[in-house]
Amino acid sequence: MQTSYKWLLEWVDFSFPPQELAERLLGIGLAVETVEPLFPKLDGVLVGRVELVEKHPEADRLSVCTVSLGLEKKRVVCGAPNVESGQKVAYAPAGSKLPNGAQIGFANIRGVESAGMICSEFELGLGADKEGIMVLDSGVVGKRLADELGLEDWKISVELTPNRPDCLSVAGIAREIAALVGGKLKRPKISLKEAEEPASRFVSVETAERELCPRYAARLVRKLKIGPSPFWLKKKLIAAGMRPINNVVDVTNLVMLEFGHPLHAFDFQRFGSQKVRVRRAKEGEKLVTLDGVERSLTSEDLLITNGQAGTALAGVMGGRDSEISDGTSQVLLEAAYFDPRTIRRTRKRLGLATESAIRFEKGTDINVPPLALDRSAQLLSELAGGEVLSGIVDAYPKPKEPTKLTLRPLLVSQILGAEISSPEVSDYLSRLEMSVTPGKELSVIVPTFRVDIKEEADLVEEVARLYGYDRIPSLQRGSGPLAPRFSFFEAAADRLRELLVGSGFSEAVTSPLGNPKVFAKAGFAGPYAALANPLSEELSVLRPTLLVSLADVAGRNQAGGNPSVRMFELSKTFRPGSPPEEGWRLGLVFSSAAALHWREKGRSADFYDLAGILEKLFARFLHQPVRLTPRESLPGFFEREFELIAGGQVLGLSGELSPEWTKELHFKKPCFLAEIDWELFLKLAGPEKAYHPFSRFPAVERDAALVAPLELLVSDILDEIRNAKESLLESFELFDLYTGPQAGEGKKSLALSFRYRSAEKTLTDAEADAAHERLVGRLVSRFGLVWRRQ
Amino acid sequence: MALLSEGEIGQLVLAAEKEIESASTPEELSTLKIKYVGRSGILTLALRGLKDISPEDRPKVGQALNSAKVSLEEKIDARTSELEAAARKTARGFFDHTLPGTPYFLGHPHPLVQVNREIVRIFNFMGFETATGPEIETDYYNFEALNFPKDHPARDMWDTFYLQDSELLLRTHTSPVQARVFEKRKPPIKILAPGRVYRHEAINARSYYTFLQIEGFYVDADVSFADLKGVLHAFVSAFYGDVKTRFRPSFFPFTEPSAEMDISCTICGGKGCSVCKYEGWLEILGCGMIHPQVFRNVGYDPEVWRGYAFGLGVDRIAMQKYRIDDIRLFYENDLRFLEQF
Repeated sequence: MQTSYKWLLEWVDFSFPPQELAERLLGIGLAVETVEPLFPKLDGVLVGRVELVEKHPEADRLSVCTVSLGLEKKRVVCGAPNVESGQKVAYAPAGSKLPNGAQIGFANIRGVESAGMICSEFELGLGADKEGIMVLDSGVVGKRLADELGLEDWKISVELTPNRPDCLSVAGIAREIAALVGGKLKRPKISLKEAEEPASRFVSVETAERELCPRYAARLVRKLKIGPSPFWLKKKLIAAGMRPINNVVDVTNLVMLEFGHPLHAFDFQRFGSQKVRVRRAKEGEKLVTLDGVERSLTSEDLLITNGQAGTALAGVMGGRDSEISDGTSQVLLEAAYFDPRTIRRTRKRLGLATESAIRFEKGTDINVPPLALDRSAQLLSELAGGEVLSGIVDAYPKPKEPTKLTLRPLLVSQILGAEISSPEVSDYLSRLEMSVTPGKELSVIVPTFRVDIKEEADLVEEVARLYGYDRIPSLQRGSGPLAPRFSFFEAAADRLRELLVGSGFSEAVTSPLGNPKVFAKAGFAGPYAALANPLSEELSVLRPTLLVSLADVAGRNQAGGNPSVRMFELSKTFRPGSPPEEGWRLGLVFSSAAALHWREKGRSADFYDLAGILEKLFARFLHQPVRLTPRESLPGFFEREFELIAGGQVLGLSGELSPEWTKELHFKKPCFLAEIDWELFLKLAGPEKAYHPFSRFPAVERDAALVAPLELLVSDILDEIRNAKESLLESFELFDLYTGPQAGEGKKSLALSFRYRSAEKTLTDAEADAAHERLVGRLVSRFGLVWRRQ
Repeated sequence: MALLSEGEIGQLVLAAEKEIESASTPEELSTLKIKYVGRSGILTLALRGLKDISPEDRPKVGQALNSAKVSLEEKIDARTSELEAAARKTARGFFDHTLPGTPYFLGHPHPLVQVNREIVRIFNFMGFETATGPEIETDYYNFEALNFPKDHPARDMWDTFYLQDSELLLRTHTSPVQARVFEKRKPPIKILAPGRVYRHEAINARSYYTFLQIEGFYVDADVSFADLKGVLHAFVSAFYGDVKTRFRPSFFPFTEPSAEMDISCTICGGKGCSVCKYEGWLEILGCGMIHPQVFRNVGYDPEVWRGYAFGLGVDRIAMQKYRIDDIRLFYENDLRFLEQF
């Protein structure tokens, strides 16, 4: 809602300057967004009177005017067609400067000396009219224009929360100021002269939808003359951010801005009947609205009709056929109450967020229409010479009673934690135009414009607002349940971050929304959890995997000059269904170039680096090894793909990005990825492992060089060592691997180191040798290996 | 072995010192050690011969011999260390302690997650227990249970992503966790619910369609707005240190009274700068006393229980904290950005 400082001053007395007003309003919940001058500075411009208009001797379209400034007279050449003697005009003397930057001086215009300029609205920055000079309807000749027109004003723009439609009006904001200062609202005085003939003789009103339109009130004004509005009215519309149109439309807009209640003016001669009938639109019924668009309606829409055809889309926009035009002389003024939800649905469906719709959908005051009609009718008779027919035609079968609530003053103090006395509570509510009957419980009558106040808690907020949130004490006390329950999930995630960040991985946070085409192309087949109203195709589904976004981020990084990329993300992935599934996954990606360092000639990352970090993760969290089992690659995404298995369950997958995707994502080095079902993974994590005692006796090391067939998986040999459960074996390591010609055709040579140690005593060489023979012998016979002894 | 007089001992020491001085290798020094102070060294033997000296001279000569032995041993050891150090220096060859050290790869936590954890921990210390809820929500938990009736203008406060072919949506705030927890548990409850939320908003430097939010709520028999202010003040001083706060009335359908909390700008201290848009204040969070209707919806008696709730946006707080001017940087994951945290 936009209004102006001086406009508010017309409605309520207060003494603080604009900036302070903004702060005070913020303190009671009306967030003032901006306070800025309403009009540009017009320092030198004066009010002048045109005394004489003569033809320019050399130019047909120019006139030479004598402008009186009281004591002084100036000769000014003017090109405007509407200049006439007797007019009061805005005169910019030589030496003054206009808002558009024009420096006014003495000019010789086709041989005639011109001292200054008579200005148009546009040149003064006061409106859009460029066609002619601005003709003033008031002002003392010779005085500053800015003072005479009250131009020194500030635009106050308030961002309202949706619960305060009452403040979508000058009256509403002024009421809040009145409550702040403990003052009273100054409503405009209404003195309406009505003709003898009653309006009801010419128009009747009927509403077929009492729920959707519980009130429809109307007035008739005839013998009107359409014309421009006076400047004081235009100024207010401009302050509110609206465009002045003509006196009739401007008056309805002004009254809407004053009271917050939208009005509509029909050209009654073009209305089509003498009967207003409000009904639901028929499915597919058409109406051409004011903006010239033909709207196709549904039975959800409420329509104002002349008994037959639609004349307006109730509360949203008028119809073109009964629009006010220059020839209008009879006006049917409508002030009605429409069901907020109905207006909201129509407004949303048609995308017509008009000033009217915005107010109706948030809730208007059903008891304000007579006041709004009287005020408009009075202004129409004053500004457009209209004759107001007697009486309001009002269909309001069930008048709405104001809400009655009770409030326990003690509860106010309890909820707020501040001691506020009962009289103080009553005082705050009274300032808000509520009527309060004191007692142990206050009984409160809430005015109908406060559509947001429905129960006791709402009254507590009203008291709190005026008491001041900042006056409520800050109570720092320990309270609440003393049963600390730490989240296992958060603790595990923290441990994971420590491990991965410590291992050189940076954390990524990528978008959970993605492109279904990309997922499909990567082999993560649909269906996906798809959005009904996506921002774009690229962001139209919830992702089924983290891998695609991680590969994308890694590729961008590498292409963008970060050669070594190691990243992880712990985030959710989604699957459709009823209900849809969402679960935490851990994604890992890396692709790195050889480190450039004076000391260590590194190498670029390869598959074994991936296996290494996965082994660490599984060992740290699950205390068990991870098994990588080859799997058919997804078409396109992976070149080599492996399932990650532990505890007999598939916990995830990993692999090397395929050459096509490596190229598509602009990687310079091979890229490796893994994704783990983090929730499943954590289920295997179990409780903390118990401490395992270790031996303090010395160990004996023994090596074994073994020749094995190339196709035998190393993991088979290593598993066999573990399965042997040799009690003296403490640990073992594969420390060399050779697959060259000297190993023999189709063979590989493995070098293993074993550490033997007893828990009870110092091992003798003989004891260690015996254990070594047993263990290596078992491998030899199990897999048919050759044991190369020196 | 002939007995030595005090003068002879002095001469012997002088001679030995000369030899030590001129020795150029640790080996030579080792030979000297044997010669003078070894098992059969001159001084050792002389000490053994003391018994043959007259009892009146014995103490004097003994003392002289002992101090000569200690002094020579020390001199030989010192000289040996000196020579060894010089030898090591020669052996070491080129050494420049200013060369860059061996690289250790350390990753970097994401600033959003880091700030999220920091905030969660502060509230954990104040007795808030962490709870979570789904990102795909029902209209009921996201709106209706929280007192947003159907077709209510308050629903426009947050534009919503809906799922195809269903009544489901992507939660617009973490507040649905309130209703979910209330349904399962009885007060007193003190919960913190961090998580991802979604808004149907255009992407630009100031807005993104998803962000992290942290919801907190406390329900008990005697909870007041003053308690809410207390806990938020405690949070602010833990997270920001010494800043001013401001509470102003606002509107959320699920709290009454509702408030927004601002803090004095952490950049300019309240004088006004581009970060606070020259207002001196930064909007930090929305909060209020839980609306009685929310309690009625979940079967709590609002005459018995009262509670407060607050919700803050992690992205915005992280942006303020690190003076990040474009929210998209968080989701781009450029390592040149991440490596700064």
